[in-house]
Amino acid sequence: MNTIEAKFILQARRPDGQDDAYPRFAEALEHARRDPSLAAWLAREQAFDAAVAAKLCSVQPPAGLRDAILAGAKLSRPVPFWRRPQVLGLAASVALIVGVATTWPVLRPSMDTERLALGVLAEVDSDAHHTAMPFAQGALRALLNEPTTRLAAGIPFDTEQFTKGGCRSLKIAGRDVLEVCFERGGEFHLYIAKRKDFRGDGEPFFRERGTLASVAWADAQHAYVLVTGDGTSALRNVF
Amino acid sequence: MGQDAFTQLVDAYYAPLYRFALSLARNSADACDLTQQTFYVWATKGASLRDGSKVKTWLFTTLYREFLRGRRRGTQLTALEDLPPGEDDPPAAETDLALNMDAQLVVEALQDVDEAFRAPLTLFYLEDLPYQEIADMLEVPIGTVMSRLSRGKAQLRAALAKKETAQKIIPFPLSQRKTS
Repeated sequence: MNTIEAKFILQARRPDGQDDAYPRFAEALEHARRDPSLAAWLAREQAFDAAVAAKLCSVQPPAGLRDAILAGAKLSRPVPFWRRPQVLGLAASVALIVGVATTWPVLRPSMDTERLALGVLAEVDSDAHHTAMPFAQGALRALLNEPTTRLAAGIPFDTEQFTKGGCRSLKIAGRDVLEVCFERGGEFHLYIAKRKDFRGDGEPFFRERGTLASVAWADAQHAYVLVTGDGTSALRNVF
Repeated sequence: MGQDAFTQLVDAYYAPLYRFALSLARNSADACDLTQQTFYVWATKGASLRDGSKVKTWLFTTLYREFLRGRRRGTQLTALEDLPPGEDDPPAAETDLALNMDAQLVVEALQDVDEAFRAPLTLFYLEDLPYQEIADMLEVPIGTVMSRLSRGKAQLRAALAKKETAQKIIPFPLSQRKTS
């Protein structure tokens, strides 16, 4: 490498040194260490680059741009026709009627857990859910985000701990339900209800509807519904 | 993505994205539009990005593509072969040129650089992306990025020198002119 080649490479070296790991920069830097005139050139070039970078980074975006971005994106998120409240309401009603009519004789003991699952699926698609999106915090977040956690093994939290963990309260099928969201490879939404409010044997029940997959189950304390848009296989990795 | 996560994303990247947009679009209003449009695209399509470490590159790439897409027809890039060659043995730049100049003038000088060189040059000074990601974004090899950087820097030095000269020319106040 001659001095001209070294200059060509070194003038592309960022002042913060982030490029030094590249072999071509390392070789050119070594050349500069051996050549005082090249080292002096590099020092002036880097000082110039640092000055330009500082000037560029001192430019502040206009006041109001941040708020405009946040407001604009919120308003602009498209709502597919099948997620509009009217269509959702109609679909949920039809699904509920069909579900009740076809499964009543066989599944009567777990009916209420099914209602919870159906209500949850409608809720996940609702505008209210997309506005709230209560992401887990603290210990609950740590537990839910931990790759080895399997929810079927039980969640050792009481209602107060769930609430402190960022859960949102809402009513589904007329019952108090807590909702919390978390990310583990994909986005998941967990709904927790009091066990006594929902009958059923608590055995896991998987279902897919539209783009959503869900599993409903119960333990001694709580009834749960876990929902994701990433399919049943993603659900099984967490459940 | 939840609203909190989206807000965090905006807070982390809207300023550097705006600076990049300002160098490309050459005026604040268009730069604001480009920045907003980038986050709009994220809000509608960003969920498809599975690798969280690529968010920054995704945003810069989207902004650049939106800029190219939105450029009016008829304002094509100057062909690279029609642009002046880079310097074989570049002189060390005058640091004082940039240090003593107002940030606005430095940005204006950057905006005077030919478009083909301006994007890599601005990304170089923003120091946000590694070379491989800049190369991927511009869809050229790393060697081409460095070549364009070299030519862009030569143009930037010339533009800064021109602005400095213009600053030194002090107009003679009309009120002090003698009238016969």
